[in-house]
Amino acid sequence: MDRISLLPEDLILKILSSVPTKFSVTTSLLSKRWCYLWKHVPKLLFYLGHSDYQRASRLVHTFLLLNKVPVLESMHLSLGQNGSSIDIDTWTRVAISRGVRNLLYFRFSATLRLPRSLYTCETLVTLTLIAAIIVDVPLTNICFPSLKALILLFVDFLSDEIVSSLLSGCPVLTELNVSRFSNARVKTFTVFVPSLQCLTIIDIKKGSQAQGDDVGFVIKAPSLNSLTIYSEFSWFCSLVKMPYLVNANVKLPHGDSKKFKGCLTSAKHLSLCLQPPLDPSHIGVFDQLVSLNLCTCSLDWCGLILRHTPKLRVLRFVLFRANVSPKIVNIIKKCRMSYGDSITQWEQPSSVPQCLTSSLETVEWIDYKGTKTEKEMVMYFLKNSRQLKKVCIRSLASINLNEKHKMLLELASAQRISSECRLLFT
Amino acid sequence: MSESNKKISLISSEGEAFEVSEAVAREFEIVAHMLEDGCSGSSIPITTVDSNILGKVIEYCTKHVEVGNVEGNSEKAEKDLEEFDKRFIAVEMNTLFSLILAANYLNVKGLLNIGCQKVADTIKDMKPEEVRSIFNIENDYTPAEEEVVRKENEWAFQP
Repeated sequence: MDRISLLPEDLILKILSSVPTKFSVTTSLLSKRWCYLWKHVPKLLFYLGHSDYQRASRLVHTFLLLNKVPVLESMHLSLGQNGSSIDIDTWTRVAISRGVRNLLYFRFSATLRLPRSLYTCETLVTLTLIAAIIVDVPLTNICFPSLKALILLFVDFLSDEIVSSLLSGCPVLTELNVSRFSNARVKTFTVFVPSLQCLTIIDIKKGSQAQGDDVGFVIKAPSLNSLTIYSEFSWFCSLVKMPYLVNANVKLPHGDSKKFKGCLTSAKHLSLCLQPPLDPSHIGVFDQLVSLNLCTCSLDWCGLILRHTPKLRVLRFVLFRANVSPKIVNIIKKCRMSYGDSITQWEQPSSVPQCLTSSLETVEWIDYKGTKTEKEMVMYFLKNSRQLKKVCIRSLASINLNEKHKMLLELASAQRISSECRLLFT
Repeated sequence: MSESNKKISLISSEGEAFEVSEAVAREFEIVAHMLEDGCSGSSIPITTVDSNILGKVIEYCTKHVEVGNVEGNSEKAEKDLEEFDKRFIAVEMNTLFSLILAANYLNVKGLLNIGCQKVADTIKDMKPEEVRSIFNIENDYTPAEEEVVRKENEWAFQP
């Protein structure tokens, strides 16, 4: 018996659901059993690549016509710039009539006109739009009653109002993911979604950006439990209290810390990269905080923030980074701190923060270079953290063994107040 | 004994017992359902899976339970898991198919997904002859029949 015939048909279909449609149709040549299997694959996955548009369009058309599944689970179309609006309109309408759950369009900076019927699609659960300029969005009567996840990567809308009305038509949305290169058309991006649980915003600077008090994000999402903001050009215009927040990752380019006040304090896990630092009177007390990742560009206010984290157990120093996901575009952004010795100065706190006395168990340093500031800080934690169990130092990969050995000896001989504390250096 | 420390024995088709924590056993949805249905026995026979494959499935579930319990730095944890999955699933075809069948039977969704994805990634750029040869599929078309299928689906075969 051949190997794949051992698998039940639903597993073969699951495998064929993960390959491009062009390939799944060619499996009809394998043997008689395979002749019609592709017609039962509930996904259309098409990536234009270098093939010419006429053929591509024929493939999508024919697949939709011959496919026999009662419910088309997914339609992912990655199109070139020259895809025809009429085609896209037709395919989308067919997909809607087949109860499509997941739609993805990748459109290479061209305009994308989606049919009106999409904006009232009852079955849609995930909508992903990438690199397109979305036109012809109706301003009223948008309703996605089942939409749980909306992913907008480098998508441009024609005005602020369109974003607001799009989001107001998503009553059960739990995940919103927005990445942008520009705020030229949408200045105030308003996220008013009471059901939202997970919000990711990544703004990557390309060229000049609009500025002003109304440029940025208005976030009214009180149910959030996870918030990630990596922004090189936007700031919050306003934020509400988020009592269920568990994870927050925040990088913002310039400070107006009043808007921050008290909104993030329920977080259990927090990553921060903020320059210039927050105004201390606006930080609030992070009395739920268990783990803190602090960007290595923000060392200067480490002492300050530690005074506001009374229950902290894990403290990590790591260069802040954010991934644009889903991986189809694969961009990883890191904080642009220079790699020289221009590390921010650290000022020893005048008194030992409470968390060092009572709760801090782990200190980690990722990409340790052994600068004066880094050394002083690690030694400070060894000397003053009474509950410390573990200090993990991962040195920068480019540092040679000799140097590493020297760094390790320096730290190993430093005074430790906690007898249980282990030092791990790699 | 507290819930989290409870041990459960999973018995392979050869009769070999694998002792695991309840949290790991619950990763097998089929076992989780048995426990919820009041099956109180501490040893559960998994008659269709042999020791070699059962051991691997347990390894997979143990890692995923461990990583799920780590606090903070979820991004790093996710990356570690991804790397683990990648290494874990890099096995030869027979083992891969056995793992998929076991994951399907035991209802371990994550493993089933990465297994099917691995097969998909392996075959997606292959020609039909190559796919036939790695799966040992016998071509039961006559040349004339094959030509008909080729003609019918010509719209997809063009470059």
